Amino acid sequence: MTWLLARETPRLRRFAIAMTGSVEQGDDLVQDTLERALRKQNQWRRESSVRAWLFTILYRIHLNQVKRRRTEQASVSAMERSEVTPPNQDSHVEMLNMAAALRALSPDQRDAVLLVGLEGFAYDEAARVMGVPVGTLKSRLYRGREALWAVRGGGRGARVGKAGP
Amino acid sequence: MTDDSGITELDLLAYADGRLEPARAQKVEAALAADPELRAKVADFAAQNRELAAQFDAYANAPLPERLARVLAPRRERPARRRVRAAVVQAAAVVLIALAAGTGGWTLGRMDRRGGSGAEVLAGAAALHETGRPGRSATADTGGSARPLTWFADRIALELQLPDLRDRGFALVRKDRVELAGTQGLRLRYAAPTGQHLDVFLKSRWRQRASPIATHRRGDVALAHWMDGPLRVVVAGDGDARGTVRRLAAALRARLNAQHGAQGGTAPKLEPHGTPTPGRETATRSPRVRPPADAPGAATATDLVRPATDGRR
Repeated sequence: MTWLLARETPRLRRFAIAMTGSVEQGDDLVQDTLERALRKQNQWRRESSVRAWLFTILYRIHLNQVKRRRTEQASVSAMERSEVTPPNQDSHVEMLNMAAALRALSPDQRDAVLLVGLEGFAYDEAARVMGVPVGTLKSRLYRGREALWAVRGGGRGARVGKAGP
Repeated sequence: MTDDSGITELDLLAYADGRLEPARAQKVEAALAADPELRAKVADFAAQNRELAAQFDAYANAPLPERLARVLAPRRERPARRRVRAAVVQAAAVVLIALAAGTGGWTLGRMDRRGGSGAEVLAGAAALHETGRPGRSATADTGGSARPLTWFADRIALELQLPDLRDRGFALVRKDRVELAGTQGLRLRYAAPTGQHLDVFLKSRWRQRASPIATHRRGDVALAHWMDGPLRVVVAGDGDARGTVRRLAAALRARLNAQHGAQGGTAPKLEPHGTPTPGRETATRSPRVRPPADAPGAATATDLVRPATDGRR
């Protein structure tokens, strides 16, 4: 089955790098995903696509890693924590491209935008990858796109960052 | 957002993604025509997809880093006998779709556990062919899943090309998703001017083992079945047309093989990009070797905020 995984790996890598904002972290994530998929290949359900199955694995690993990092960060001092805090929306004037603009989004919004806008998943497929109802996915996607629009200079006073479900 | 015209945020979203039904899209366009700011916003939504691709596609097109190639490499580094077998299987996967029917004894052999037994698959295909029951209609889908061919190609992770049988007197008249032995598959229906019709059922599978074309008969339906790479194929034709369909199958399979061979190889590009490192045969985890700072793949988060042309591979 490795050739099936190989077929999907470039897309996994593109998504992982875009999501993490780092080639190194993205490749770590893809490596974890491929290794898990090889171990758990009998868990693939034919009702879903190979691609969706792999993206779901990758996304779950990512969420777990984020959760673990949060736990680790909780033990560092407030000063150290401030150094690793990603730039907030106040810095959007410095942003030059989509990779930077994506940082203005909440993780949920960013991931929805990437799954649909970059990877071309249908709304229902993207919702399954993220493990949320399709309505939630659409809301995150809309808010994310609206935030990207604002960050990139559109619509002063736009409802950037409005909470979705 | 819902304005006086009843246009919602989700309408705008679907419109920007090209996933809104035409009638609704016309209403959205009318609303956009009257609201320049809204028009600019929706135009930006659509542009975001293009810019995301421009920013990140380079990573999908670049050679895989060595450590990822190594994860995918073990099966190719087994002893020669297995390598040959794998090559044969992969070559067989080139035949994405083929047609066949005929007579003779045949059994499906070992089937994937979740795809239904061989008998179930055959019975389902025969029933669908006899009744013409469309199963799940493609038009019932929403979003990006609306195209049955794309939907199925995604499941097998390979490009899928519809076989053209017009020179054999059969034209493709329908393609839709069907329920077959507990899982969903794709049905391609061909019709001849004589009224004869042929159904090709495609299901995804996980195993790579290929099987020769074998034939069977259930009632008045002639069936043929084989497996190629990620595909399980069942062909159903009228019982009195077995000879015709059998000849079509042989011709088509040869044609597809020749087509791929003419493109420079007999197997699809299934190898991961990059050069795998030999010597790892059974490892399930490759070491995470950090590339040097100036090596491909060494970009960091900082690199990603540079212009897209900087540091791309």
